[in-house]
Amino acid sequence: SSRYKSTEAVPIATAARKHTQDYNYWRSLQFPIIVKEYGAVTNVEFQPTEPHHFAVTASSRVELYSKESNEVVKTFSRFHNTAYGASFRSDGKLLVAGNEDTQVRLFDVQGRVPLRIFKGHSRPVHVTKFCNNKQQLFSASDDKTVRVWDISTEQTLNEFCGHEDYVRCGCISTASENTIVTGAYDHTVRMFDTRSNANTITINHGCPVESVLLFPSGSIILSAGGHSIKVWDALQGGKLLTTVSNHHKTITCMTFNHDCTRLLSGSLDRHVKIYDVTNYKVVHNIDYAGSILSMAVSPNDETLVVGMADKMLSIRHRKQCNKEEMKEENLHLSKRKQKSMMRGRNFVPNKDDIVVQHHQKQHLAKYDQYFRKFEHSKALDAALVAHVSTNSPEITVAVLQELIRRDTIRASLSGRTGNKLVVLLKFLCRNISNVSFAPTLLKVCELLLDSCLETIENVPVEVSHLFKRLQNIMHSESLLQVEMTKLLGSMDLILSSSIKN
Amino acid sequence: MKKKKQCDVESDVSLYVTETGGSSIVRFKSLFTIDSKYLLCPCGNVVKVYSTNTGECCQKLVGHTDTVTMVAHHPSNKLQAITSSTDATIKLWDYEDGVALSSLGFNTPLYGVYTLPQSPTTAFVVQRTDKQNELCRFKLEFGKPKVDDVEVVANTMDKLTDKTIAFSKGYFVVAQPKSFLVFCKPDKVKWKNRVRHDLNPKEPAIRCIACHPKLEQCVTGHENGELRFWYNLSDSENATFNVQHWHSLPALSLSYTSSGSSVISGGHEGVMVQWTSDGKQFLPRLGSAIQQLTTSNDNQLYATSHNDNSICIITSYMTVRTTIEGFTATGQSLPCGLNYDPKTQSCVTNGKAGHLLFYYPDNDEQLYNLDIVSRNYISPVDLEKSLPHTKITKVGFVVTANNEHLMATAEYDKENMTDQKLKMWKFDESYKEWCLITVISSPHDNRNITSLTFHPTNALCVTTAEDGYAKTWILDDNEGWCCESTTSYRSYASSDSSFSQDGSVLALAFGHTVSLIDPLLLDDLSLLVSATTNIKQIEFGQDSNCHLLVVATENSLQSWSVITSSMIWLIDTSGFDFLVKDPFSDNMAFIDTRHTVHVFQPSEEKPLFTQNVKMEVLAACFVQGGNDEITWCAKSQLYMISNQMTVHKFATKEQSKVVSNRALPVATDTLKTPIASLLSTNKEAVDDITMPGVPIRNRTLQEAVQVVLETKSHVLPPIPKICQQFVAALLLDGTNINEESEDTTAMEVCTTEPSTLNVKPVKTGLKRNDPDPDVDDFDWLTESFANLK
Repeated sequence: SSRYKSTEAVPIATAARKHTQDYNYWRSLQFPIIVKEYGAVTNVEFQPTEPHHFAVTASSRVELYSKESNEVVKTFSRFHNTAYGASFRSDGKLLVAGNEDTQVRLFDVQGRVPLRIFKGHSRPVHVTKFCNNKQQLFSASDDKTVRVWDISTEQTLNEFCGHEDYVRCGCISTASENTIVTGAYDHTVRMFDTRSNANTITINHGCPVESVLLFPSGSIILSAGGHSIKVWDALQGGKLLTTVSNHHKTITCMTFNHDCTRLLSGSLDRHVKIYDVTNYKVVHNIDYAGSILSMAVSPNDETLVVGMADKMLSIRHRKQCNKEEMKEENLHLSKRKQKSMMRGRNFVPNKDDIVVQHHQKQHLAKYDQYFRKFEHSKALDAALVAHVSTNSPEITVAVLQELIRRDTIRASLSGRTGNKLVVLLKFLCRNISNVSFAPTLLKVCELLLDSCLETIENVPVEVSHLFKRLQNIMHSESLLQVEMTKLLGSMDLILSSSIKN
Repeated sequence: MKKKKQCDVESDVSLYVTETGGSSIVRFKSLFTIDSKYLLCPCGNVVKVYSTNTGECCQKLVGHTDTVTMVAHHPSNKLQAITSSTDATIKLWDYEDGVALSSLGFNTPLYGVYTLPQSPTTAFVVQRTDKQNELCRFKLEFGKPKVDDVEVVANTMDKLTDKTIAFSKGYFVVAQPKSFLVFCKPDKVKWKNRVRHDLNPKEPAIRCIACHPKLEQCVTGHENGELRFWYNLSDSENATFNVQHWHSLPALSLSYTSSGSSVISGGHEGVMVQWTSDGKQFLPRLGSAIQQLTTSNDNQLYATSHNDNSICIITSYMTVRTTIEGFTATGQSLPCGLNYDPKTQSCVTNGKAGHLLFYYPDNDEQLYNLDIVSRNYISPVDLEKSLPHTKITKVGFVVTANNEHLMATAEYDKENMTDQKLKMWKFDESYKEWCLITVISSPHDNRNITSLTFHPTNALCVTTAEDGYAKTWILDDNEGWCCESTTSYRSYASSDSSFSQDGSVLALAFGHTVSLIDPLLLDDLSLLVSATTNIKQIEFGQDSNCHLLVVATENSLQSWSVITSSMIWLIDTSGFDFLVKDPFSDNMAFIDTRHTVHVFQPSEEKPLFTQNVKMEVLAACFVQGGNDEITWCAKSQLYMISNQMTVHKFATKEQSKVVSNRALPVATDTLKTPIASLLSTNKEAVDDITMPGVPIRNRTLQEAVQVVLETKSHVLPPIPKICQQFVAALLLDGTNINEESEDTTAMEVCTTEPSTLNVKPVKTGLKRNDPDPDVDDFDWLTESFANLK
């Protein structure tokens, strides 16, 4: 009971940020690896099978990167002009890419030379994708047409001519073999049926469509264009379910995470936003240095690859071992180190032994030692030494608070001259604008001015300079307070009017 | 709807307010018994006998009808004590048995009694009349109803207390502020035969005095904190003194040790100082100011009585052996009121400075004092201007749905308007202690927090304050408690909050309105505009009245239905003190400024019970465990704390008698040994002395008998004393037979014990399989006897 209770310092409260599960999940992506490409990275796609390489389409080549080494393992450079939309077949063995020169080329992932060249489009081809049955692929071109090709014969099976402008995006339904969804710069999203050669659904997005996606169920269509993402129900004939607009520039790409519970969207405004697909609310945001053109997420969300307009490719990997394992490892290490110190700790006394508790000397900080002896001025000096007052100003403030509580603050502030006064004034200048310290420090300032008032004319130059600085800080702080109050008032006005409406 | 309150409703006239505990144990000086086993403390109308080993209250000496003022040794019988009381009697006690042996009447209230070991028939009492304080001598002869002749030895205008009178061998001293008188030969001395030592009028006044037990020396404690050691006392001209000064505030108490080798002193600093010829030793930070000091006869123990109603027993090595705590609620107010903790079923209120007191009111027992503020006690520099202390202003408890025991405390330095903190605690079941989870500094901008309420099942807490905001706090598993929402209404000060029984509706009082919100969704449900004056307190009803909200304002009491948003009834009251909800029934108690307690149900405007308690009630709460004879407290009992810091409850006339005469069973203070277990009346297994890290084993009765047989006869208690119990212990107890597995372990342990008498270990294996218990229990006994031979 007669133990000395040491002075408690309240740690500085940091702005409370809600660390949601999503925040922690996406925060665990490491610092990005940046690779310079030959041109704007227009498309990125992961190989659906092992070893999960990813194909990067930039300038006149398609490069295959290894996820592990972040280096190019293969380059397809047999393009006469800019390549577009390199895409893997579901077994990961074939790769198809469009080209500025209107031809669609099919490659073996192992090979170098194109296996097939599909000719027929009259304008550059931006989208190429394999169909579900592995025997066919489709391509969408700036000539406003969408063609379905037979891989073995290089023949056009279907040609859809519904669009009235460049077709720049498209996808295959995984639920049905015969459905293709494409989006074009004529603001429409069209669904085509390869069996009937017909345009089954036409949706007007309202802006040039940059990206379309289908849920695995095949019934919900997502379209991105302009600043918004729109969600449509195909089963209800293309009824608009919701509109999400969280970007302030054109959205260029969309993708799902590995289990389709989160939607990621990249935009020219240099943000990747992550949405919960149950309510389309933004759960996380990742910032990038350049305007984003393309994006891909590896299976299991281990790697996020983003291609940018300024020829940069950003690769972010998830941290390999989680924190708890690291901690355990550390513990293990320290255990080994402290083995000698732990000797005898587990000793169990015998029944008849009388246990005498070792008298442990209470370890106290310097200022507490002085406090215990009621040497208040020295306690304040001990709390103002550089490493305490700069590294942990909250301790110094706690000591000042304790001095106020003991009603000895006047005595310990008075009679300070020279360096002691300079140290105190510097501390006040540095910390008086801190909101959590302000009540205590303002009181200290007042008392200090009271005690220095008589001698204020013949203080050293350094001290008077510091007093002036303190005055300036206080002045700017009061101006800031006025501005903040104004802002608060106008915000209240807006908020209250919005509640009424 | 509005009706005048009927003041003369039929109340249970047969109910009495009885005091159940909580008196000061430090107001008057305590006394060590001659053998230093017990400390006798005057405590209200009784004397409590505490064990100096354990600090437990072993006995209560009940019999005086007014305050007991002093305890003294009987001059010849070591096992008896004499007490004086303001009921104008002195009583002779056997303190071990707690029996009043005899009584002697006086004409006026007595404020002290002194006995002389060297002349057993002479004793002194202190009497107080309007003008005078008199020290009177009388002949100590019990057996008469009234004392014959009282002879005034000394009289003075100044108060004579146990601090200003000191007796020694062959003389005694009486101190006044500016002088002290020495009387030699106490059994014969006359008022004239005194030696007077005067102080210079400019010198600091004397506060206390102590005499050397053998020599003609004394020590005086002065107002400025200095001590003067006086020599050559019987000579009025040539008395000399030397000055020692350590205390910075007045010395409050002094005492010589029984050998006279050192002096101990104490004061407002809370430091006990031991003065010897070679210097001084300190025992700092004893908690609060030292009021009284007592030393034991064997020179081993000191007792310091503190302002916070606790007594520290200190050994001569200057270590605190044990602390005896009275009802440690101190000061003139209880800012956090009386709260009921559902888990420990105790009352919680402000204890020592910065502490919370957990207290069982039904047996006047303290659970513990929990340090909340965690600040050192600092004595004030100037006694006129006491240091403002940070006080605990609100406390709340909840046992959540997943069985977590949570507590929230709010502390505030009201004088300086600073140091506001909201602390969130959780009871750690594995360590059995309260852990601090979160500290929120200045949650309400350093404005007074008016209420702190927990959701009935969730980890959700609501605070309201005078800054006009009501804040809800929720527990996040990763980050501790954080603010979930802030509610205000037209910048009215928020005065109270209350959750409905199922926690679905939260009522917040803002100014004269009550706002109902959904605590989880934070939607406004409705607004009840209720009164012309500000609302003081609101409380939801329970069970069948769970839809009713009782609203108390300065001068009225209202009941509102939350469903229809309409007033059920309204009565005018004569001033509002506070409202208490009974968590075990649908009753509520309302206490007005005229100290009248009204017990009512929220559905009925007619109270169930009304009585004026004729004392200022500082706080009250309902505690589980009812009184069958009173209809309105069948499930729970209303306990009240008066401004004298005494605890009261309602009881019928018969019950009140029982309560006041109740004596605690004598608790043994000796270490629990097998022999002690045999001697003690309960024959349960005795716990081994527990040491940290050693698993607790049970010694059974058989083992105890074994030890008795093995112990040498000269160390045993007299045979007649233990014979009956010993034989009784050998008889079969029907309940013990089934606990065979427990026996086995105990016996096995026994066999491994080293035996001082070289007795072979008892073979226990064969009997364990024996199904017949009769044969069972005597096999081992005969064997033991055989081994002894």
